[in-house]
Amino acid sequence: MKIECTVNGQREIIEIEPGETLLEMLRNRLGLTGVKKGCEVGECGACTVLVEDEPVDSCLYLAARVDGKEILTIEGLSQGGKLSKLQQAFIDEGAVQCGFCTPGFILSAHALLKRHPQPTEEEIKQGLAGNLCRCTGYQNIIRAVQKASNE
Amino acid sequence: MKHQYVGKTVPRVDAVSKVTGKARFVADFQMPGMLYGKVLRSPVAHARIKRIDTGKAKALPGVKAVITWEDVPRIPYCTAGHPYPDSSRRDTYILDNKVRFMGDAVAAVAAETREIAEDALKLIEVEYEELPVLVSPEEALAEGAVEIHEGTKNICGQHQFAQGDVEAGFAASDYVLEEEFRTPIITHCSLETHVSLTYLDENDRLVVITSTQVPFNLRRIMSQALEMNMKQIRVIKPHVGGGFGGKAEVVQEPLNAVLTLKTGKPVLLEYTREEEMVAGRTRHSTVIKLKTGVTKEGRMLAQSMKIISNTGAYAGHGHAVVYSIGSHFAVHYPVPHFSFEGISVYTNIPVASAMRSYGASQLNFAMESHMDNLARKLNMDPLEFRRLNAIKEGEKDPMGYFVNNSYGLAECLAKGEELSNWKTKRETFAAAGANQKRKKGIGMACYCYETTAYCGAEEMSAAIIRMNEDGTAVLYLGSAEIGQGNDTVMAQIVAEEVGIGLEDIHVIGVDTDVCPYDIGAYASRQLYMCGMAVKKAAVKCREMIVDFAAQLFDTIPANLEVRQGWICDKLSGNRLITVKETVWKAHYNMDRPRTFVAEAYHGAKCNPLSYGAVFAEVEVDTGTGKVDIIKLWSIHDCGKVVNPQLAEGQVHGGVLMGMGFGLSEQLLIDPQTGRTYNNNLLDYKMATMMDIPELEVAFVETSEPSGAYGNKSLGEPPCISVAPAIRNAVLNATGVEFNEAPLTPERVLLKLKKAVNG
Repeated sequence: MKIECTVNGQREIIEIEPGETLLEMLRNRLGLTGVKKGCEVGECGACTVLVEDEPVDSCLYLAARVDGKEILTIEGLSQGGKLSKLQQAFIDEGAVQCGFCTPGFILSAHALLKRHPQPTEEEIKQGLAGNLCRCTGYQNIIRAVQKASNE
Repeated sequence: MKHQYVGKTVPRVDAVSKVTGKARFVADFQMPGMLYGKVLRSPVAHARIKRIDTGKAKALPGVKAVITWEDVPRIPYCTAGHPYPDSSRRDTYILDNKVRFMGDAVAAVAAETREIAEDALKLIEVEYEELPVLVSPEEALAEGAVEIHEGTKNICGQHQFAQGDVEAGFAASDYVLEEEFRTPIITHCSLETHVSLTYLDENDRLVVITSTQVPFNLRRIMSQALEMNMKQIRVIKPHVGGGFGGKAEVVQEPLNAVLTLKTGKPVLLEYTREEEMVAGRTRHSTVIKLKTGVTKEGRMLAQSMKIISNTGAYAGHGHAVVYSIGSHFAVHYPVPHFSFEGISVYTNIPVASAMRSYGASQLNFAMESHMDNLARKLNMDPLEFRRLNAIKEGEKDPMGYFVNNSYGLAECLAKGEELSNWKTKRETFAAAGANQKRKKGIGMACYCYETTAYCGAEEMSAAIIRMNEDGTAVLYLGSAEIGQGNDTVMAQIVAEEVGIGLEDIHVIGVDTDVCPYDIGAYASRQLYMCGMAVKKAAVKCREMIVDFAAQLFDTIPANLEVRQGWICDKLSGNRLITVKETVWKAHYNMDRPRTFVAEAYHGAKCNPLSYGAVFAEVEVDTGTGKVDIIKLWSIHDCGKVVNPQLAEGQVHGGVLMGMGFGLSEQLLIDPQTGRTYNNNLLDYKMATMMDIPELEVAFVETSEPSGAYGNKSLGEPPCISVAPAIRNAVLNATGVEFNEAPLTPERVLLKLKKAVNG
């Protein structure tokens, strides 16, 4: 089946399989490998992308559902080669280690900051609780989101 | 000496690629004509394979290969990613005619799509002759138990040692305490599962792109398992999505390679999360008996330890972990008389192997819980009891494995005492009264831990620096960046020593075709070992450049030095020429053209101890059994800190991993069938962001004389003492001794009730 959607600001017409997930479509058809596959059952959040500004686990989201919608992946976050505030804050605060969970975290945080430009620590924790990280202990990820929200 | 880069927080060299999603991990390498590999996993925990029929699977359109034990070399190999000689048993075949745990590999398929590969698995017919399932070491060691590996009696390894006369020591003691401790099976939970991509290059060499901590050991082990020479194998480690010891091993790569060799095609073999948690690797569960004799003043005279380690269906790193436990046992609290007995037992459960701290987490939980129980019986402050008995400055390791030339334990204890307000809290929490429903407590634990694997294994690292014509540089590493920041600190060292900017350095690591040999990311060795190799190579490089500059200025090298990217006259300090311009002039030089390529290796013959302590303040809800952590203090002597932000990051992650070991994480196995109940990230309880405690990190910076910049280990140590510190805080709060981890609400509640009801 054919769908039409906007991915990182680009209009795309894509031939997909009915059972295909958004994760598979983004990685395999569009080569957007910044979308990471950590569990494929919605447990880890590594595959988080934004559909109409809302974070979703793309591994659980059927590609067919994004017909007519706007999708943002990590590849679309920096504008004109310039990192977003959040991306820069992740670097400055040491919120990146192995980097596998990083795209999902940044997109979840991006959506959170759109909803709550000045989130409390508790709101950050709640907003990002669906993303797992085994390297950082989450401490510097919280600092990074706080830093980006203060700028 | 004042450093420009070393000791400073600098941004990770891979940070931009990781925040933009450009960083490539194994599964991000797509190749034309690539096939998808899938493994048929055993539905029973122990069986002989009587018959396999792959006919229907092979006939499925899109299937390119179906392989069973009959299609792979009949060569047993050791999966532990250590240097030669093997540190563990050669007990693994790429595929075998026997399955030894539920989830063991039975057959493998390569097909055009993942869906076809999955469908093909369902078409493979297997007839099993089931064997008794042995889940616990007690069952496996029982008289007449069936052998999981023939000729082993289910013993993967065992050893013992002693010094002094331990029985005489107990007899001379005023008080002797003997206790048993148990630790759970936990697992690494790297966000990226085990995954590899194999293909044949234009010369029919086997290329293995894999998520590994040990590229060179992996190449050697594959060359043994596949009977190929090393020239025929190229291993590439791209970005790795977490390791924690689980990838210090050869897990799926040989099977992946056979699928490529059979089809001639690139094959991606990627574990699902459910596969990862059964067919990946785990931390050994242990039963540890500790017996200690003390004087009435609290001085330890004698100690014995007996440990049973459940290594599961295959050895993995197996008994090497128990060797490591034994080597750390005698040095933390040196006593005149001690004895150790350790045994690693094969059972029909998932494979236990290397995991961050390599046994020290299990040892430390038992030892530090035991120390608090002892102090309690002696009516001593547990911190003072440790001060009295712990290894002192300059004191030698009784077994001689480790060196103690930079000692920060006493200062770590003092710092923790001060930061946590230990004395006041011990008094006020105790005085708060027994009737409160929520009880507060404060506890602590401490550790000493190795830096390298010496003398359990060879220790070697190497580095190559090649200056580009414009004075930028390429650094070739055999040490493995797996998220900890390896490539960044190595680049810092090059910038520091050569006199170029951090942004001038491109790091290539690891590609066995071009990078120098290194034994990889295990122990907490890389900054210590490879850091020294990089420093040596960088100094060589600088000396060659200065030598050339001396010719340009008609002087001798001894008159020159490099300062902040400039070659200066040593006496006057005058800047003569930049390092970069010198390199340019050397490359484009009609009279004396030359290149600057420096290689250096470092082989260590000592193993320095790092030290640290964790203090924990908790609140225990006696109505639900839930342990809430109010705050943790994590203090480490890792020698000099080379990058403060990266160092702190290691502590943050390690502490949370240790907290999971203490409170929530355990892989649960059905004692009858060997089935893993919770092989997913919902039912296996690793911490989310909602679960993190308040945490204060502090460093006690000693200077290790054998480290490149006074540094020693830090990667593993932060996870070690967290669980016992929490456990000891719970003891302080409730007066109940929990000698088994994790302290789940269920376990805490049951024991509290028992303590009340008797």
